[in-house]
Amino acid sequence: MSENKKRQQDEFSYRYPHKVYGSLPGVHHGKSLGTGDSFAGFSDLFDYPDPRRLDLRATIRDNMATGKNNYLVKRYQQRSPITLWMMADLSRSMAISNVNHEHLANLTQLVAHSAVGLGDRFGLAGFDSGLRSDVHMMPTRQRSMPVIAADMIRDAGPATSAGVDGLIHAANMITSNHAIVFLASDFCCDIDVIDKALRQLSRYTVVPVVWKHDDVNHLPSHAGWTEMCDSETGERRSIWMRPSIKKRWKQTMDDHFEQLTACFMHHRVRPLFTDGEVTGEQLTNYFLGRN
Amino acid sequence: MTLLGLQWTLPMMLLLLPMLLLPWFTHNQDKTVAWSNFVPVDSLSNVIGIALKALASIVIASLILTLAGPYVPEQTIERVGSGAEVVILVDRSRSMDDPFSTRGKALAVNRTVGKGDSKRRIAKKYLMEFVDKRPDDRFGFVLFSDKALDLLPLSYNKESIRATINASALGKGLSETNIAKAMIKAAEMYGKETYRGSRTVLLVSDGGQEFSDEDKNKITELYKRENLTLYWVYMRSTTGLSIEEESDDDSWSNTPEKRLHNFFKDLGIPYKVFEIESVKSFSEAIDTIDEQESQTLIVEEIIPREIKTAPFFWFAMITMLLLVLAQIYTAWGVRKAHE
Repeated sequence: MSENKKRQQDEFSYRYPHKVYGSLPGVHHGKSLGTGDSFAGFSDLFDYPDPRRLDLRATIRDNMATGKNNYLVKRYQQRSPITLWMMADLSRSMAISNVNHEHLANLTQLVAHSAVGLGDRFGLAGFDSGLRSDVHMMPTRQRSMPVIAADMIRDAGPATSAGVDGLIHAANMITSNHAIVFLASDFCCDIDVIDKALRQLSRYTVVPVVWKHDDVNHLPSHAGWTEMCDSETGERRSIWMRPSIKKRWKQTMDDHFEQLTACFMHHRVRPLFTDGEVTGEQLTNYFLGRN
Repeated sequence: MTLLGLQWTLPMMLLLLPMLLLPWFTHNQDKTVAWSNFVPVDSLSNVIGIALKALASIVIASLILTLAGPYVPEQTIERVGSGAEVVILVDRSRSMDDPFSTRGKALAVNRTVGKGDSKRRIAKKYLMEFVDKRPDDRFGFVLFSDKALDLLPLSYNKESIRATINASALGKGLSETNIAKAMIKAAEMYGKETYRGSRTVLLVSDGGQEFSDEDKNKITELYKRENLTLYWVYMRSTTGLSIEEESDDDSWSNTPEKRLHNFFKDLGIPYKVFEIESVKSFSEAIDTIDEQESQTLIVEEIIPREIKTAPFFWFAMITMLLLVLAQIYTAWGVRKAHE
């Protein structure tokens, strides 16, 4: 924590790809008319009595064309804020070796800091087999919020039961009109669950942050007798490793991640793969479509 | 305590046997995997898994059983062999120290104790051979001069009969001879035993003797009762006449040897005399007896206490070797995964 405070907080820049409708001012392109910089047409001075916005050239052109005697005023679209949601997978498989809560907390802090910096709101929804009420935050714009959110994840206890079924409940929690949803998980679960969650989140821009486990956590041995303990269920399986089994094992793994990618493609979602700390630069590049 | 047909020195050690369940409960070599759905389902692995655990259990069980000290206690077994029970009566009189006489030669003057072919030594040599030839026989040994010494009661122990025969050939002979006493002694030796099969008395002597009537009666009664067969290996020292030869010469027919022979013949039991005048004839005589005395016989054998830890040790070692090989292979595999 102290190290984080000393270091200057990393941040990234992002743009919401759609137009936002809202009364509050923000930084993202909006649909509502108001003070902004993107031109949205003319209006009669009597309808919108703001003489500062009078466009004389347009007025004359309009009067000559129509024979009326109106004054035209320029209208603009107002920039609006959005909400950034962090859906944090706190299941047991997220707490082994290279994939751990510390990385997740740092990412949360990064996202929250960037969101607040741009005047957007940030919400946090933690899940494992169910919703995690201890890792939950309704969208807010508070300045102190990034550190609080990160600490929530750091202090989160281990999951009480196995599974990531809470993903669906967490997706239900997101009710903002306009949101970018960061879905941070290792995605070692049924594709069906992910598919269902993505379907629910289809209104939003989803950024899946896929944490890849070390090879050792996927394939702990190349030969001989290996007893395996599932990180989620604790179920024990033993296997006599040999080339054919290794091949099958790798095949299953590759198939899973291929299906996962296909699922993301299907929902028009581009995943961000990482195996350690997520930096602001990485996310900036992601939003610029450069990686 | 008996288990698996074995006796155990420390049966309390068997209380440790539940330890063989340990391999089924320890998971000290667990590897955490992110998602076990990636792990292929493999029936061969299940079989090998169970086999390895079973092997580990077997090692533990074998070692515990070894600690408990299994042994087969000393036991006597009866088996049917072919042979006889033989009591050897050897004359210990001084004349046995003489070499064999040959026809036409005078009585040897030099009494050889330690050298040459004294009759005792020849007798020893061939008796030894006789004993070696007959593994299932039960031997007793009586040495006699004026007293009969039952050196060895009837025994299956080949070592002791050999040692006794060896020992009997040492030292100098004594002056007197008392065959009757020795024969009674031999019969008495049988009297203590249950009847198992052919019973033989093998008398080795170089002279005869007149028995008193009392002795004669006793011998007759005893030998008939005990159902004995008598062989007399007569090592002739005087030249000339054979026992069997009918001679009109009174002086010959009245010799003690002749009389003894006649007495034996009239005993009413199977009896055969072998007249030995050379080394060769002695061995022939022994061969003849060997051929004749091979009836079915119940043989009692004592098998000494046997410690049976070795098979368990071997079993544990071979099993452990398999496990070690599996472990080495595994260690190599894990190392490769972490590279």
